[in-house]
Amino acid sequence: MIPHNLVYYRPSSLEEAVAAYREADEAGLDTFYYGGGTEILTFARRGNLKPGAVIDIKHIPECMALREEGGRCLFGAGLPLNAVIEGGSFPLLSRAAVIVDHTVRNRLSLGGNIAGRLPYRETVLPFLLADAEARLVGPDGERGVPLREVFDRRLKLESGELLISLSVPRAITETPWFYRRRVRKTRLDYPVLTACFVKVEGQIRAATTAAFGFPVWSPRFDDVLNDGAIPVSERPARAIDAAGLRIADNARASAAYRRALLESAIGEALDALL
Amino acid sequence: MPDVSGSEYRYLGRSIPRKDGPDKVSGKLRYADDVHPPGCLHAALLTSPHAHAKILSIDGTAAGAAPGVRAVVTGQDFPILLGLYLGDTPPLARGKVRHFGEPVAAVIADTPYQARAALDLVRVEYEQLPVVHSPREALASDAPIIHEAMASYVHIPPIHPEPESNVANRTRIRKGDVDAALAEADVVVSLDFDFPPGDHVAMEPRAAIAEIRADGTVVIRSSTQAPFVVRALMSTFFGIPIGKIVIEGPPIGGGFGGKAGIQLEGLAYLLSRSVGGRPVRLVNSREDDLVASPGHIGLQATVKLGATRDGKLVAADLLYLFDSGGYADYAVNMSRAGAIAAPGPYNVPNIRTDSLCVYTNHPFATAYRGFGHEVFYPVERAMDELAAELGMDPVVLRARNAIRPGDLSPTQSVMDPNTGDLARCLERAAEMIGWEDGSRIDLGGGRVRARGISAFWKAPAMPTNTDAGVVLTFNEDGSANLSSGIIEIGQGTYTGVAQIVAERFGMSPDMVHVSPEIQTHRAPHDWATAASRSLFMVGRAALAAADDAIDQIKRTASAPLRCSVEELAVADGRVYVRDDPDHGLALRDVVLGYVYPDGNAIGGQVIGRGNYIARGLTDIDAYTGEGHPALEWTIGAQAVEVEVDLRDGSYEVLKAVCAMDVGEVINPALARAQVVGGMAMSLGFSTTEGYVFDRRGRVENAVLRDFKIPRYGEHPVYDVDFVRTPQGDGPYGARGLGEQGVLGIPGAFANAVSRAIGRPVNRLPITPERIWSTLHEDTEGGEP
Repeated sequence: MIPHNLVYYRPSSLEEAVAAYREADEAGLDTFYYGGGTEILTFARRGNLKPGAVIDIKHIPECMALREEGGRCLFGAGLPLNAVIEGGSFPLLSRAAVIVDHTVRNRLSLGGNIAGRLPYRETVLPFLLADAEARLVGPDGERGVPLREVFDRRLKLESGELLISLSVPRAITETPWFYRRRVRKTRLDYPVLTACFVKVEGQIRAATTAAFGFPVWSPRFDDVLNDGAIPVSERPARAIDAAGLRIADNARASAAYRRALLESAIGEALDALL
Repeated sequence: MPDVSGSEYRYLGRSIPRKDGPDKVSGKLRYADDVHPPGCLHAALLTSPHAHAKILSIDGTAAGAAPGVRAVVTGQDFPILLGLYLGDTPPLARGKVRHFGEPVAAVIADTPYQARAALDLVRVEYEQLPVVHSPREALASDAPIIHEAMASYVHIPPIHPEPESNVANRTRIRKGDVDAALAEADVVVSLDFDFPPGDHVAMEPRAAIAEIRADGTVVIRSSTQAPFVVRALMSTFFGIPIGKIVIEGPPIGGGFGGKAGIQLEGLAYLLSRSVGGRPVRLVNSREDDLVASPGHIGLQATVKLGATRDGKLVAADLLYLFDSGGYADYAVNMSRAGAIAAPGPYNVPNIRTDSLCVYTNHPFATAYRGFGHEVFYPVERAMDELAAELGMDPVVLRARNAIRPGDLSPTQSVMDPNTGDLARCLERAAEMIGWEDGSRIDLGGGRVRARGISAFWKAPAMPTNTDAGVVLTFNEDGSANLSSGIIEIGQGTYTGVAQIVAERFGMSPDMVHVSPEIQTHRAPHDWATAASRSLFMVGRAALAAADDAIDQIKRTASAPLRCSVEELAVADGRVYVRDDPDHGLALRDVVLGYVYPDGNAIGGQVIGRGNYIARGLTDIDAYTGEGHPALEWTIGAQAVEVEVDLRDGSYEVLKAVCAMDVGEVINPALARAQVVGGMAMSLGFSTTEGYVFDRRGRVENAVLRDFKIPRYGEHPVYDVDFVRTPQGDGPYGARGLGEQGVLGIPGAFANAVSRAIGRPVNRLPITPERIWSTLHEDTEGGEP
């Protein structure tokens, strides 16, 4: 139960969505675009979030796109994770999107996982590694930008802006990859470590989340992984140090354990991909 | 599971579908909160963000003025204390809060969301107090006293509170001379253990709907396992004549002991009284159910076992510190029941147990499928350490010490000929888990597979005069209606009892209709649907009622059939002459009275009455624990197989098995489901569950987002087998089995992990990180 009233919008075009946002915003309502609503519902019922208006993006065709065009694979932000998984065109993404349980994934949207409040944002990791372009729409119209330019720990959107879709070059989806996810105990829990690795043109790229508390892709980290002057066995520890970030330490896992898990994941990824 | 007893019985031993199944799987069953009386108001609770704090002030003015709000009440409005065995609990916190999540105020409004929204407007000022984080801390000489007024609390005689301390109850077992036996023992092991409190996480949050009718009758519909306990306590605490209280008990969506006491009913009644007796719905949110209502007890323990070189146990020296949390609830009796059962189904000549129920500033505890039987986990771990010291197979060590008829129980009661066969259970559990293949296998690459075993027993922990009753009435088609005082809590007893009656009548269980809800003013008296005693006791009462009905049927039929009562038999929906079966009458022509062709009627309707009351039970002595508190012990053995990755501690539970001596199996599929459900629940708190507290004693994982329980699809293979030493006084030789599947799993699982990693793991839950950190501790022995 959400113990207060809110305004519900169901636009069927991007223009309507932006107009709805403007209308709600001008009415002074705290307004959210959403796909599945799993986070909004669970936070709002406990009073941790009090949305004044919600805009359902599931009926906007661009937000539900799942196709290949112009040598790129396109994923609408409104797609439920199960659609992304079953779409299957990006194997690392299909793997990384297997979070929570099947029933929740029927609702939980790709855009919600990336742009929501929870800090893990696991499905962004494959996109960060795959030269993704983010398609956005807002009061000033549509734009396409490299994901890495608008993602730093979280998606940096302008006020009223909506993530429409993400696309990646087809070629990168076919590169070798390594995936590791560790939880406190049950796989339905949030991760204490998720790490994705790909090898593109001979170079290993890594992205992690949960280890540092949020999604991290770091050139310094990747430089160490690919540095032939450093013995392979030393690269995991050196790469973590090079990231220069504090490792998360909370009830789900201690920093020491997360570091051990991350070192082990990097070591195995190097074994698999080098 | 194959049907087993088919040759001997017609309807027992068959896995007939459960009677409550169709309504449950189709969503049509009406649980407590599926009823909306006309004019019903809705309550919501404001809970404490602190674990221990003085309440300086509560201002409900703004909330009271909010839309739809009818009343805002606080602890000051209800100067009364409630409790099951020990009256220590205000309906709403008064003066101070004793645990995170304790309700401090309630709002009653026209709609649920108006009530919830108004909670935000209630202003509470607190002054934080020092927090007691564990039973060991609570016993320190300088520990803050959580219940300053304990000396004034009313309590039942078997409970022994210690005012001016945090000890709510202390139970002593003194059997033999432990010090002398330990001094002479060849091998002694001593270990410390602990695990945190947690929650049952029943699918249905607790609910109570209360109203006061114009004639003063108080009607409360509640998700309760114990409507008669609630009724009696409501009468005691509120001075309402007991006959003017009606508790309605619909089927409940998971109880596990968490709904066996008085819960929301007292508060719901007070809330209704605050609004002139109008019906008030008080339904826990999931979060309130997790921390405002009671959960799974925590435990700290020190266990010392002594044995001879050839593996005979000579002494058990046991200290159990149960973490009751802020209030006593059932915990004061759980610490007692745990002491009665410890150290488990072993013949130990010398036992010294001190079992304390200790207040802390944790959410409070109540029964959790079992009743203080958390005591086995430390003992079973210690048994494996003992086996290692002795160089003995853990299965052999346990079998060598198995309790047998003629042995003395921990309370020095003689084990009777009904005593189950632990040695056989151990043998079966070992076979099912594949023990002969070696209990630890190195799979290479850092992966190890290992197995662990454990034993358990449990008798109902209940008042010595616990009773049950059954009334059978009949319909025009000859079918029977069965009314008893037990609640359908998912355990399937309605189906089992129908099978028992059907067997006696020789008619299909489809012809025995069981009332799906009970009302205390209509149903025969009963204690509670708890303690794994329902099928046993209500089964006995049902047999008596069936025999009574059959006698009446024969008496009526003997006239038109022109024979003596003794010459008649009842089966297949008929009453007939035993040696001339064609000569008889259909039951439908007898059960509502027989009518002769000329219209004359005789006999009247058949009303079968049956009761049962526990036989020969006594309380235990306050200083030695001597007594006979146990009606029947259900004994068994369990084993668990795990595969552990030694590199990072991640693991899978591959298989869990249980061999239990249940006497007769009434319904194999339901019996198996009970045992498997228990094992699954137990693996939950063994592997992952339990509250996580911050430094101020606040629960960090008080939402299901963070309090993770295993789901379908995450479970191991389960295997269950039953050993059949008849329980002479049980219905058709059956004994209870609803809770026992829980009891041995923590020990068996911890033993498997400990064997896999070569180090003892004596704390729960055993997460991958705990395994990893145990492996990376420098000191031998490690935890805790």
